[in-house]
Amino acid sequence: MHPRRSPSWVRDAVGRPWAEILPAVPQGRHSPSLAGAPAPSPAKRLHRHSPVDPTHELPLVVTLVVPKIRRGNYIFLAWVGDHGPRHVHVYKDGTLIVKWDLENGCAMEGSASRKVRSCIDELEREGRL
Amino acid sequence: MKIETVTANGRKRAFEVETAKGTFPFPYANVDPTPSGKDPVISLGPDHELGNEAFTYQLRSGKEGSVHIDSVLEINRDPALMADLLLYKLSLAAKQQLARHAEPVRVVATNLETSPAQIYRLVDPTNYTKSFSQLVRLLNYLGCDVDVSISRTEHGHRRGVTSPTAASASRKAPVRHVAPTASGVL
Repeated sequence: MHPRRSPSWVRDAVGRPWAEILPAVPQGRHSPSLAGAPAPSPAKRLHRHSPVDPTHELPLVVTLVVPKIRRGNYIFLAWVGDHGPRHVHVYKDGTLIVKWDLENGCAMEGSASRKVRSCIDELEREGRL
Repeated sequence: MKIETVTANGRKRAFEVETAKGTFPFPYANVDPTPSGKDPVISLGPDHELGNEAFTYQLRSGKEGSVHIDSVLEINRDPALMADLLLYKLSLAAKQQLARHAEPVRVVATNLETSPAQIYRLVDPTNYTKSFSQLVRLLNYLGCDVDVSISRTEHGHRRGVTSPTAASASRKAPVRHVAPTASGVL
């Protein structure tokens, strides 16, 4: 099988023939010119599909789910989303007591008793919410 | 909104949450601990302790996680939830502006031709049954400009919500472009 040759009339944009340009272009993974080249670093390998903007590797929505926490006969379930403020749902006996906005310190739904507020403050101090 | 059933779909790498409104997917990537092939979900279901408004899953490694239906709706950009969040932000802003305002609530109510009770209802962040119009009137009276910026979402539509009513409606009148979401800027 004959190696593929570019016709002599094929030229690049500046007018040089392809025969002069081809040796400078990497031929690929099995090319003899790259045989002795060092392997790409893990970081380069990770972002090989995103040479321009590596941040597009990040997920579209960044979220965090905090597991449910039991304290003072209440169950706390927190959520950090992209649209709403950081908040925690407080349940007791299967009923929603309050949906508390942790950023602004006010109720989004229902009402919080002093005991619930002290529990939320404790959990925030402990870094669990 | 109560969760009726929830299933783990390992092929789609997502939980499928069934409610009265429809079935909503919730990707594994959004939960911590994250289920995987080596650490799959072994038990899953609506959590009765959380009033069936959340589901709890357990992995083979013993790790446990719970996800509230609000999180599922937020990920799927439920229009009602998005509207409630916008209303909440506006109410909170109105409450802060009213606290800073020099005039008492009674004077504000008289000038807006309404009652003080209605003003308190408007600035109550837990009340989601008020109108945008009255809230905007109040904010303008308090000396705030309310600007609205509309931006298209990443995907241009809600993600993967399936419901029988939505499917039949789309067969009758195919919708090419869904209206973009609105977000308020104060």
